Amino acid sequence: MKSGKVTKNDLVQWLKTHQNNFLVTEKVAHHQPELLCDQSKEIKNIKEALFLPWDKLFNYHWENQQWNVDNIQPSTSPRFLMALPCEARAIYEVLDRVFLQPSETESGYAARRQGLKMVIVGCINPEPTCFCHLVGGNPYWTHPDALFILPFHDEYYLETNQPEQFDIIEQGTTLNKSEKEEIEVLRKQMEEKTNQEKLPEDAPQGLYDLFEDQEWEDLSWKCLNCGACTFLCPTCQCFDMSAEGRLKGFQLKTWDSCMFPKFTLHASGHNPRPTFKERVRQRVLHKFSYFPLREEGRYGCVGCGKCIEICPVNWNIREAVERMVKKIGNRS
Amino acid sequence: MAIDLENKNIYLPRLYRIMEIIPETSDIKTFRLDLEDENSSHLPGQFAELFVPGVGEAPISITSSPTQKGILEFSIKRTGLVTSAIHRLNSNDRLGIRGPYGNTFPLSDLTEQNLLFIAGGIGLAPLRSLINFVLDTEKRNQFKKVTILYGARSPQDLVFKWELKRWQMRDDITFLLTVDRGDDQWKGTVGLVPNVLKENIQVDPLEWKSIICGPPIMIKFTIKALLEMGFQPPDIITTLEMRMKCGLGKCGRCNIGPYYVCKDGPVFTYQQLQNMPEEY
Repeated sequence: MKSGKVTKNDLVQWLKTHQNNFLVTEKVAHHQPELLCDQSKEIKNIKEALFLPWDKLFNYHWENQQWNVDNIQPSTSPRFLMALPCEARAIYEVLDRVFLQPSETESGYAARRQGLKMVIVGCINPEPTCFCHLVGGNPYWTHPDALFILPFHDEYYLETNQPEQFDIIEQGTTLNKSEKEEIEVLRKQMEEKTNQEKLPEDAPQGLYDLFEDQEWEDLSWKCLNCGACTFLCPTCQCFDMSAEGRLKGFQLKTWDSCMFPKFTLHASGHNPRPTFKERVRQRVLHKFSYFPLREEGRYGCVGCGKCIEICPVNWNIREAVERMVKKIGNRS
Repeated sequence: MAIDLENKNIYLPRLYRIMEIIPETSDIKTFRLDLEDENSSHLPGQFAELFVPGVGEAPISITSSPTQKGILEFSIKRTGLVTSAIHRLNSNDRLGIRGPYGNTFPLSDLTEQNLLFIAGGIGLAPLRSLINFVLDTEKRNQFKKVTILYGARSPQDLVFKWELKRWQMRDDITFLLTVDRGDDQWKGTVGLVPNVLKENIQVDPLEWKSIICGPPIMIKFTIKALLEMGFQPPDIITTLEMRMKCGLGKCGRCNIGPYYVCKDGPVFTYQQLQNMPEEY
């Protein structure tokens, strides 16, 4: 692990040299506007960088009295992506595990992922809607492949395992002993907070056992099933596929939402999740029970709080989960 | 997670020529596709995504047995947009295929066992793949006794009539046919599948495995009847249907509990279903 500190000016200069291929999430832009350059592209939801809202999978056309299909080669231009730790976890902990599954790797996602260099910006002003501690994250979470940056005494602290990818690290000056300790203390505090506040180990199985609980009816009552939460969620991975164009067109992959009744509607008219109750329960349990049961305890939620922020009726997934977790084994 | 860039486009279908279209009932047709010197890599119980350019994809179970070389068969009921479009295709048209997807019937658990197949209506399609696999001359001695019970609403709704005749003529299996309502020409059994099962089939439930497929209501009552007969939940094997898009456990539609029906299913034992939310 290589670490150091640079002046704000040096960091901004470095960002500027890459600004034509720099993506910045809305959250970073909002938290740290001084890191924005003229050309940096702001994205609302981190998943847009890899899991495109609108993605052509292949082309087809009618020619010589028969159908033909043509593959589309995914593009691989290298890009930087600056995001908060919670948002970055959506990629490392959730989306990569869905789209980079060995033997079923999605080539478009893999190509974009290969070219992506992650810059994780330590979170210094958590919002009232945030809850990354509950799901195993913390405001200083980072990944060895990424460049981690943190505002530090009018300068910026940097660390990475990939110095050749992030040459800015070479300009850094080494931290003195007390500065190193300061960083370590900050880290430790946050990790302890996560350990204290994290959902209990048995939450995924416990919630699963509460599938038939009556509380879901009550919890879903307020939800409009508008799907806004799923479209702004950095981990929501569900998608639709449709053929666009009659005699010449393409197969299109688009974001979809388990909040919509048609999501599970069978051609026969039968619907396994016919009402708000089943659909709200699906969104909560997929993230907090089914995904962790499949993926070695990793939650399918990173606690960014985006869905709580934008919900038109203030439906709060954190409150819902905490309410259900309290019921596990009738603990109160 | 390591990134494999050599990967092919997992969503790209391959187009295959339709060799033959066999009308089964007023709304079911069987499509036989020419694999052009290739043999299908599927195993009984798996399905494929069928693609009609300009219309879309639908997940359909593979009804041919892998022992049938060089072809793939799908029996399709005209129900939605895609299946209606497939019904409008003609011989020599090309149909897109990707797959095979899903798990298979548990072949290793079924070898050296007595097998009771129970199917209702179009539900015979996925079972037919396994039945013909078991009845193949090279495979037949790996399995013990075979009994097939097949029912449909009326004689007109029976699928694979040509195949049923072939099975009826075999002396190494027991074959029972029933319809819910007969007609003037019908001389066979009349009665619902679960009732015919209880009345006409005497087997030692601990010595047999039962594989069932059909409409949800038929599956429900057939499982009830099998349990009454003394069958154990791990010995009752069935398949689930869910709306699917990707077939690879990514698009999220067919998720039930920690499972994706397209990847972890569609074949489940009744014991597995008992431990799953009933959201199918």
